[in-house]
Amino acid sequence: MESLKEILSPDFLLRNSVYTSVLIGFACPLVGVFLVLRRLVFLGVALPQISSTGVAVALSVPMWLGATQPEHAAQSEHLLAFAGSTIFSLAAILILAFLERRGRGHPEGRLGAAYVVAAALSILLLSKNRFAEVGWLDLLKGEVITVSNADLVLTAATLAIVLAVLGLFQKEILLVSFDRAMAVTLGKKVLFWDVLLYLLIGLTVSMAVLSVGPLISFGFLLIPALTAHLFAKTMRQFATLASLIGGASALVGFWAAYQWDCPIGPSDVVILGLFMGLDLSFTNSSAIIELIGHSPSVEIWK
Amino acid sequence: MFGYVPQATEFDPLFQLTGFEVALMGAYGRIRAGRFVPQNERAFARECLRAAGAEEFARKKFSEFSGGQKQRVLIARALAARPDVLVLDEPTAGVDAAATHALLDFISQIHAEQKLTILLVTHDLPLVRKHAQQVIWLHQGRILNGSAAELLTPERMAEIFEMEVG
Repeated sequence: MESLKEILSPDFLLRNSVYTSVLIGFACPLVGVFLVLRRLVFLGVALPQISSTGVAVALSVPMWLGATQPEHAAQSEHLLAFAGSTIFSLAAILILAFLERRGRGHPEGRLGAAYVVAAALSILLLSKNRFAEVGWLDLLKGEVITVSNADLVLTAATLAIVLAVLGLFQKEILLVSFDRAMAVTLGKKVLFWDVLLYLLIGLTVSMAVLSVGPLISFGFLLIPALTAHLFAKTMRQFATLASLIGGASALVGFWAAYQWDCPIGPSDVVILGLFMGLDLSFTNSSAIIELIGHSPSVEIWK
Repeated sequence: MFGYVPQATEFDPLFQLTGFEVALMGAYGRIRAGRFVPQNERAFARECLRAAGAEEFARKKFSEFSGGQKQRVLIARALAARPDVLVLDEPTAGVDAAATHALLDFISQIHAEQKLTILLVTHDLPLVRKHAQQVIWLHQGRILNGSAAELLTPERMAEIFEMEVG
């Protein structure tokens, strides 16, 4: 308990990391709920990986342009990484959605290919970059240790945007997700609401990848939503519970990592897994098998 | 304004929506984006559930309803859109025989009481014979138009299907 008090103290050295992890834990499940509802679980896997490729590409740009390592590179690196992460996530989600709408090819295969190519590309780019630091690999592994005040503010702003957009436009986004044909007959601009939701997912994913890495982002996007679905009776309960599970897991994960000197990101995901395991032991396991397994398609534009 | 009633089997059971929340969606066309649903629209959605004989399903989970129960809630949702025309797409798909009769009697009742034009898409010819006034029959690229009494006689149907009678 002493270590828990220590990490919650305002004087704790890594307090920004704690706050960032918890904010990501709250934010990711809020958009993850829609990935689960739209049966886009594979997109939740591919998108963080594509976003991390954006980070690797952005960090390689100065070298490709022939730049030498600047003295105060950390800030500009982080800005570049944020730009790369955001541009790649948003571009990927819009391109995948466009391809889905045209109905060509195999959606699951497309997402699988995007995931594996993105993962390989990230490793290649970082291995060939002579300025690459161990810190970059830590970033992609989810070692959320050095978080600046600016990063913390950016993460908090992302959570605020997610909450504001989902709170204000919940009925439109829900209607379009639940029954597109009805939304059309009611005169709703279906494409606009789809794009807004995907931009929100893209923004959250890029922020999360930058803070905690692709593996943990995927964990926070999907596991809290899958866990909460077994208990929730209404949509509001579903989103709230998923967000609370994410936030609580991030805090417990950080505490466990600090207590036993483990990497923070993987600790968070294991804690999420434990939450889900506990959940399963209290509920009917067939429900979760249906959630994961009954995926008639991974349509983006259903 | 169209009031659209899709097949009850189309909906994903993952959505944690109550019957009332589904019915309320009918009112969304009148509420601007970013605005909360006003009390009068909530009250109207409840009225529509009552009119559709689905009041008891308001607080229960939509995904757990039977086919007939879902159809009633979806009709309530369509009524909540204050439609000029109610469009029903295969309303009896996945609904048992007893519920089908009850549902179609109810749709006929809405038509009579609310003077609402109802466009029903179905493959169920006995149902059409009993409930439809005007029929548009799409058969092998041909469009046949007429009253149910004209189109659905054994002789006319045999002619359409190019079969011998008796």
